[in-house]
Amino acid sequence: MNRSSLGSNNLGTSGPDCARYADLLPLVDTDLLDADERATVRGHLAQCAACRMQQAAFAPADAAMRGYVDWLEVEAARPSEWLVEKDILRLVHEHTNPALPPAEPSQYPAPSHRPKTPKGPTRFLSGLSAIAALLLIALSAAVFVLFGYGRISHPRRVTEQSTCAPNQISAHLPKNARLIDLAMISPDEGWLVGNIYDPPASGPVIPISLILHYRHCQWTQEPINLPGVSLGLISVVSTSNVWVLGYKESVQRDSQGEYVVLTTLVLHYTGGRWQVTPFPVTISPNQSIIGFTMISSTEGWILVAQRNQIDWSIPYQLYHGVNGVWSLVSAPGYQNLWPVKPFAPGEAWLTGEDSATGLPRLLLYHYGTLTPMYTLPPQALLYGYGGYQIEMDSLQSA
Amino acid sequence: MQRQHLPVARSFEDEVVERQVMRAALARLTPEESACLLLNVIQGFTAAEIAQIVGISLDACKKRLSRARQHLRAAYDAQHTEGFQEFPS
Repeated sequence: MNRSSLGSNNLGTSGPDCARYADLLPLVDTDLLDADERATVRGHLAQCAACRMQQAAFAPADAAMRGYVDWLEVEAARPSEWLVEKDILRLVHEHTNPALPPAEPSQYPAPSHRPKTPKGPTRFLSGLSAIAALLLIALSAAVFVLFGYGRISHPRRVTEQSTCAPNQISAHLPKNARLIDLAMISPDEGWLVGNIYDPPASGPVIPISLILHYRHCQWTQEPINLPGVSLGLISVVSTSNVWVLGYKESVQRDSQGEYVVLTTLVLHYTGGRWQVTPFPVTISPNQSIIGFTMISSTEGWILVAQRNQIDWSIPYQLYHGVNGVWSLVSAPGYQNLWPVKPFAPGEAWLTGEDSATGLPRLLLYHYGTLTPMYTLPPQALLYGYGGYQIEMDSLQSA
Repeated sequence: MQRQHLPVARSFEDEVVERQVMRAALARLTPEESACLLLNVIQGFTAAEIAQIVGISLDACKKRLSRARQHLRAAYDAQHTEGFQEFPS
């Protein structure tokens, strides 16, 4: 390669020979130079502080690119969405239609309470029992509507159409906003959380918390003022019960120098206002919270990932909190529990991997007991963050 | 509460933002630059192979890759210093 043909110096280096290496320098940390070219540039770098500084300036973007490529490869390795959905739909079909034979041999235990078809007088008595049961259910529903509604609430299933046409919806996002998480409770109401990173005149960027509420066809910014707090995940229980995870970052000093203290906190929207509460679980510096779901004011789930050398992959720790007591969910034999989809108090569906075989499993958590319900195909991944979600609230009878 | 000495380990949310920033920075490159760069970093092609795929000389390919890396670095730094620009505000 004729180095003299590589053009002018765009890097701002200033040494007498720097212009000769200006086009090779950005490639020196890649596999794109041959050995002679690399040795030549290295020789120059050994003598030129300005070029060394320029070379070092590529490091942050290179690290970000590596992370981006790793993520792309994970995305590419996932199975197509229809494959996963097909398996879930088959599972739903088999559970909700117990009278029908499963299309394929099932690997999960059959429901023990599957009804048998009665005959003769038993059938008549069974009919009376059914009427009595219906009356009891109706009475229970009436009691619930009269006294319980409003105290117990769960996210509604999104089945209706939005009342807002796309061209009627307005959103005024602040400049320099980065949006992290979104939760829609209905087609007409939802929440967005993120942070605003306004560049300061000097010094480090201080994030400003951002919460947007979608109602009446528009996204409006919630009046919160928490400078230095960056927001992460959001969990919406009901229109008046919202939870958001936040991080307060502060620099402190001791005899060893400066260090950063990260304090995890929770914002709770209740009674028409936001309250800041401490995070209920202690996590170490190499852990990160990647799942946060509240299903009521008194019950929720927290998923913590441990950072290894590469990413936040394994192992996960799952916490279940009831009435302020948060317990680590014991999952011997399983790893990578994620995602968690609670559907009722004390019950949740989650996916994980068999520790021994690595095969993905669909698991049912029922008041402290984790039961494997389904072994997914080896290549299948039910991965919450990427957009695959399971809605299993119709499977309570399982 | 977590205590850790500088630099701060990035959180899961930060890594999501970093991916968005990198995606936005890549979008600022010319199609020719991003094609050559991604052929290398994702597909693992060498400069000679990329030159053959794109149909340019090896010198021109290396020059393009060099420019692509410079522009990517500048765009990435700009995303951090000027604010995230992927979405209209």
